[in-house]
Amino acid sequence: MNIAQFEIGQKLKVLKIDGAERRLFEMGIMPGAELQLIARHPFKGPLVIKVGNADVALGRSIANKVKVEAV
Amino acid sequence: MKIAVIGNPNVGKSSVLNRITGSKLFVSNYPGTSVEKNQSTMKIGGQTLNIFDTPGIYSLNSYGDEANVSRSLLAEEDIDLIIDIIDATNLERNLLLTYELLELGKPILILLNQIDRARSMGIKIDCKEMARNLESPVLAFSATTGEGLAELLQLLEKGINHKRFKLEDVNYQPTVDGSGNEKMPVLVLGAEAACSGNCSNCLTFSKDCLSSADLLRAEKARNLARLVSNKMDARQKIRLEKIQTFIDRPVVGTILLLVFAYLAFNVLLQFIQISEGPINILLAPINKLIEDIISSALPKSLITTILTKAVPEGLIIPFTIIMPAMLMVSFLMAMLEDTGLLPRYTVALERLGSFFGVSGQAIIPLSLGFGCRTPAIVATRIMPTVAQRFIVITLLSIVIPCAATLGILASVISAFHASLLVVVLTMITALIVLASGLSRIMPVENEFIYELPPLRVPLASNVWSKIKIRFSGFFTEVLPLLLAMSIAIRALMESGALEIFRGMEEFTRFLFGIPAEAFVAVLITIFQRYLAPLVLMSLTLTPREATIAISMIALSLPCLPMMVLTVREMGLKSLLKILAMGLLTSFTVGIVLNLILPK
Repeated sequence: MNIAQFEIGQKLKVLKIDGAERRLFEMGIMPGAELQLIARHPFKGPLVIKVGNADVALGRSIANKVKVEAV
Repeated sequence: MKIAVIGNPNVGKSSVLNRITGSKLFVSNYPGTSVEKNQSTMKIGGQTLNIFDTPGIYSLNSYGDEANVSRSLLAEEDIDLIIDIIDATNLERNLLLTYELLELGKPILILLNQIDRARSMGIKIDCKEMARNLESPVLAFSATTGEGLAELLQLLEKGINHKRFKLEDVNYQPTVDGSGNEKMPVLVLGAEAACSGNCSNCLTFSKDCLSSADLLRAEKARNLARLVSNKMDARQKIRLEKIQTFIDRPVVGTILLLVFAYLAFNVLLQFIQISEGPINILLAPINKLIEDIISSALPKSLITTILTKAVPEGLIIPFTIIMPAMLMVSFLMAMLEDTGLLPRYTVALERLGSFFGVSGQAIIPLSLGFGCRTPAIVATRIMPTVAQRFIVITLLSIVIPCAATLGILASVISAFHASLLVVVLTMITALIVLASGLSRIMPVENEFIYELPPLRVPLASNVWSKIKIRFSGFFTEVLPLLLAMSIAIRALMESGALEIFRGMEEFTRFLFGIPAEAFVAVLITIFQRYLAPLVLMSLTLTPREATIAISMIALSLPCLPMMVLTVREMGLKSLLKILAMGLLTSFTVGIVLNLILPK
């Protein structure tokens, strides 16, 4: 599932990444990583997620490459 | 001894460096700007240290200028020591870079910065265990409190006792990454390799490369982080965090950010208005003095006339209008950076920006342009790529009217009963057409990932030193150039070169529907915006003619200080492109309006 489909505050685990996006990897977003959805901007705007102790904003198109499941 | 300081963005590299060197020289770099080596020299116990700052990177093998700078620094300069600055609150991610650096085989000193913040978040890190594991010294540090500074200076003085980090003997198997390419990792910088996972030497390197070496390093980072850090119960959220949570809410937060922006903008405008008067009064006698000196020193001639007019012009405008605006904008931008609000604006305005084909950050310099466009050009440094900077600077130059221009337009529109509606609609249309046209020619990266650093209270001394640094260039570089251009423009006007256009009545009427006199006025105001009222007011124009002429003036070339700054920031070629586009826009607007407006 995509991150955007979950409720705010939901903790998620990354299953896989579509394609090889190095920048996601550098931020710590890789299979097995734990995330938490913090905010979702309207009109298909950016998502803000927590990775480790850092907040990261993702554009919708790159966020949709991250497939996650609820934890 | 040559020292390279490397670390993630937002770890506080510049603050640490300023702590170590006891100076205020280091200032955060913006991505996308001409990234230069930042260095400083200091003496410790008889030894001279050359310290090189680098832009923040997440990985040595990142795609982009920042990683290139760090890699070439490490390759070209014979670096004796790498100081790796880590954010103690984000150990796992920061260690990715650490493991890459360790593989270079150079001595490394690890600074666990923001240790005070980590502590207050309930995070405890076993530095001894970490140092044992990485076979390098690990120091707990805080640039804000100064913790660890004494130990660090001692270490630097004594010299680092370095045991060469042993590369593990692992058999790397070729792996297939998502794109179907085989990758076999080789880890040492400088070794020749084709498609080996050695990204720094790879010719087909793209931003999607990921090798098993990367994944292995990530695993080591994860394991080490789990081993050495310990999270106790999180304590109560402090006030700043509550504010941050509030601001990060999509709707409410965005509204709050826009309110801040509106207030800041008003402060900017007020400041410009208030300071203009006193500066004018101060400068008037100086201008008179300069005029008198020049006219008494040189014989009466064309050159004298040019100089007596151009020199004060070249000085008044920068000081009365530009400098106060520059000062205030530098202050606002420093505040935006240091508080951590800047990336939040990017996120909040991302949708609006993409409507115009630019990144959300573009909204900031574009808005500043309504106050004064010269410092807005400096503000475009926050744009992530050079192409995006160019787009925003072009929009600023051709479409966005500054406060002075708005004033001029208003007075001229009312004097001739020109159509305000048509002028405004024309400007908006031009903005949309130019923005979408440019972003089609220069495709904008619309996938973005941004770290949002925690909000913090800015340090007054930091803000002040940023203002000083960003501002000093104004006097040394901008002013002389501005003076030179004023003289050149004045010479052009006094030489009567523009007079040829007076005889082109039929031509201008046919194309633009305005008399030749008005066209000359348009040309003059293109070069010297502030003359517009004088020049236009002396003409008789019908409302239709005035509307067309005013629209052509509103959408044309940037003012002189802007041109100077554009050359400084983007180079002469970019300025020429912008000037060409400006003239094209202006004439197209005139022709189109002439065709569609009812006579």
